[in-house]
Amino acid sequence: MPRLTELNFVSRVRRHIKHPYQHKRQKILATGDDVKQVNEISEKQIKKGRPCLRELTDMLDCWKLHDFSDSPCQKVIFAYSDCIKVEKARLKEEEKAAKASFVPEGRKPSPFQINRLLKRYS
Amino acid sequence: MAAIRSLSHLLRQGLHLNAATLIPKTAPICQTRCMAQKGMTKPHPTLDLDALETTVTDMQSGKYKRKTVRYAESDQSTVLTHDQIVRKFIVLIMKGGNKDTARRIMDKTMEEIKRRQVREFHRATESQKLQIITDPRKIFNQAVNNLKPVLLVTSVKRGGIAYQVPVPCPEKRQLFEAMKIIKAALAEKTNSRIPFHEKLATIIMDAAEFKGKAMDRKIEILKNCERNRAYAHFK
Repeated sequence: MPRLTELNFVSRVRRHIKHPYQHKRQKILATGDDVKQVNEISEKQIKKGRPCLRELTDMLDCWKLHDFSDSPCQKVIFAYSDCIKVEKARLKEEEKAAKASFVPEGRKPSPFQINRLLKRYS
Repeated sequence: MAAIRSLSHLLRQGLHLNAATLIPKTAPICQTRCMAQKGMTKPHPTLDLDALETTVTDMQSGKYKRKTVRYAESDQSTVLTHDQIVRKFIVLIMKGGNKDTARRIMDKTMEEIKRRQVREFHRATESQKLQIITDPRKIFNQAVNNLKPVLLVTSVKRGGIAYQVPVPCPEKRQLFEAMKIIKAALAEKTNSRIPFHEKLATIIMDAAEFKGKAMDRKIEILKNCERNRAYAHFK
């Protein structure tokens, strides 16, 4: 990030360093040459998280009790499959919002959207 | 005004539609066929009679959606004895492109199931007769539903070691896994030589009642998931 205010006073503070010649490499004042020009941000995938763990454990406990037969455990199985459907729909919505043409108000802009803005306005 | 007959009513009476005339003009979804080369990316046509059912008043009021659709396959039809799940299973059994033998095997198994059930029906008492199902397609669908696994195991690598992690199974995959379980149960060797269609018939009838070789295989998959429950948070 380039500095928005000009520096009037610079102090050369001697910091604790390991190597004897390391202080020569330290640049306290950031000049225009040192600043990186960012044209792109790395696109990380949306973190999927660990959904429905509680329902999973309930289901596995029920199966162990009833020797893996389906009829006594129907309720728990339906609860788990419903939870998964909800999570899938939520993930789909997030991915859709991350690739939308405009940046929605309540959300952070995704790296895809930031890269698009950088290309247009820099 | 004459009585308005829906297409499904005519089909149930006996009108057959083969693949060429599969998409009727009177459909609430209003499927229009796409040209063959362009249409390979389009979705498949719906073959459910209930979905295609409509009356003339729906067409007049405009209560339908237009949807372009690819041509149906040559072994699909809206005949009442046709089942999509059975068709998928025939494709799985097929070896070397011999669909004819696979289809004949499936026909023989359906006949075998029907014969066994009818024999039971005649031996049973009046109260038990209501519970016996003689339709082989229903029994097959029930067996496939019973064999669908809710969880599967996938390998996830962390720190150089591959762990077996239990993971939820999506619906399409569940269908395939259920049929794969049946196929694997067929491959087991037995001491006595049993014809293939009889073997299949026993497996299907046992799976519909929650017992047999196929059910043991499904329970082994779930037991494997239960053993590796500690790694469930990896994915």
